[in-house]
Amino acid sequence: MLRYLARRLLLLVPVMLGAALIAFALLLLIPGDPAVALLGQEVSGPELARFRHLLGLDRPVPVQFGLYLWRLAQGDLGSSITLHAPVLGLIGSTLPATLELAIVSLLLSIGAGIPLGLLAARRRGGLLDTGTMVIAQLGVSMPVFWLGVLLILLFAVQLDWLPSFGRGPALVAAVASGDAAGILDSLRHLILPAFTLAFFNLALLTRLTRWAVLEVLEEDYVRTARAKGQAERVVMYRHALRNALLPIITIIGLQFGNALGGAVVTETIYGWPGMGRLVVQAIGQRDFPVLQGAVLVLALLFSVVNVAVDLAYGLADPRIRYE
Amino acid sequence: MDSPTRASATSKGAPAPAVRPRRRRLTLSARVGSLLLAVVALAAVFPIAFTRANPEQVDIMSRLAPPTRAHPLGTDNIGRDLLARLVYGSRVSLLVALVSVGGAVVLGVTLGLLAGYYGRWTEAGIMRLVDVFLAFPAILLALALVATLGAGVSSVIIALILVFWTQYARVVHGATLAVKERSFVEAARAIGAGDGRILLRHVLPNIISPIVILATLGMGTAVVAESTLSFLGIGVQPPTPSWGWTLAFGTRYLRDAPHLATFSGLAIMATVLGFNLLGDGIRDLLDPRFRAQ
Repeated sequence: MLRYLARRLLLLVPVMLGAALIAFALLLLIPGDPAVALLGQEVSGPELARFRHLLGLDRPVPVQFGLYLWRLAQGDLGSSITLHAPVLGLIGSTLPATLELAIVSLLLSIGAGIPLGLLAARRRGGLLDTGTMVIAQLGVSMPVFWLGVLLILLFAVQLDWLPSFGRGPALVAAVASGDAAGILDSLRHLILPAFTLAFFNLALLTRLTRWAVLEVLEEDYVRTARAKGQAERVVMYRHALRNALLPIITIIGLQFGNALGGAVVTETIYGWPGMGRLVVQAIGQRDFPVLQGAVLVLALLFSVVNVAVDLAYGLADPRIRYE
Repeated sequence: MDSPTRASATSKGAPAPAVRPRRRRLTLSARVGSLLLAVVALAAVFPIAFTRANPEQVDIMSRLAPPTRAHPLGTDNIGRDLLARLVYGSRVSLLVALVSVGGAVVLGVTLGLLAGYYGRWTEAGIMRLVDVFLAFPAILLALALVATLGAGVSSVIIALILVFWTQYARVVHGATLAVKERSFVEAARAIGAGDGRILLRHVLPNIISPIVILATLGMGTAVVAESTLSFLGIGVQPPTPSWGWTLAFGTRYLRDAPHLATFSGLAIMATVLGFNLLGDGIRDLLDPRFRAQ
């Protein structure tokens, strides 16, 4: 297991090198002179030359990439052009908010999606199954930003029940300090963005769980379990769900990526002070060091979660051994 | 050969009565999806069938008007007819979806075929490239690429091709690995067929099903991705009518003119739903595991 983990983490190195190359190439792909694109047409002469030198744009491309990697290895993601602050610090201050949103939304989608899929599979062909599948189909077809807008329209504008903008106190900190008012405020701010972000994943997980469980229910060992007179609950949980877990775990790993990507949109709609909003603001202000750093950090996070998902296979299916 | 043969004679040697293979048909939901897409396609090709209004015609006196007989879906912030904006906006959405998915299929299938067929360094190189692209959350990579290339339809298309190609490469790589070991490929090689001919005439036709399914479902994803980028202000730029941009603008008038965000969102969802239902239907038709359910 440890050897497998070490090998998987080692395999991350070339992938992250490639990801760094893509992040680095973002600056090179800017049509025309990147320095002019970043500073605007009105800047010229020595100031432009100084800026080019600052970004290392006056050196050959391989040297630029080498220096970029060298700085990355030292944990230096550069400095924001507009905020005049280290990118790593900006990411460090916004990442917790994004993680809070992504994790709560993932818990919501897992907590509701798997039971709903299981229930639909149990009542296959019935009203509950049909209803759940119709809602799930709408869920995977509905753009995240539209759902967000509709929820704001209903719960913030019309009913005035929930806030539509910003974040309350950090949930973990509020829970740790036992501050009931803080927890409530945090949850009130979290509900709409977390549900918006969770809905697509929830719908996808419901459909996948139903499909995976139905496939397992056709297996001989399920028939045997039923023939032995085992309770339907035992058949569903111990035999069907346990064996259907592998594809479900795979999709949960991908859903974390969806949540990180979706956070860009959700945070923009709800004014959530996370990395997604940082990325959108960086794009608006053509602050490429921030964009490059944020893209790279999110890619690293996503890759590490995928390694964790691979390790989780062994817990779900004892037949899988890590060599 | 691997292809199944059908018994053509009875035990007495007389020809068997022709048994027609049961014709498989699209499910009801897939037909609903096809209908939705047919309406959107009709709107894109013959907008005049839906509205005679000019999507650029400004009527400042009737700005943010709710649905009326003159403007069945109301008007936007400068009085342009919303139905006309949405009908003409379907052109952009369908164009981006078709070209980006088409491009991703060509790139992904070509590289997947090469990786699966040639193996060794070709496979290692291509599949590591796939891993690198898959390390990024899809919409984030698209966002970063469009931000770099500059807003506009062509940037969105290039970005989506670069984001979507990996799924086709991965599926085609796996399928090619399985098909290239089959005896009909060996037979083709034995009679002197070249690699190109084997790949195009023997391998590709045998792995086409998953590509068709992925491409149909991918079109819906592309519509969402395009409208998301436009919603964030870096996709299709005004004055070109775009669903995502109309919706983004509609969020500013949620209290006074909720019809803007509601109808543009409905247009996006109906199109994506159409592609998803059709994609599911094609999958049910082509993949026996799903047909059973």
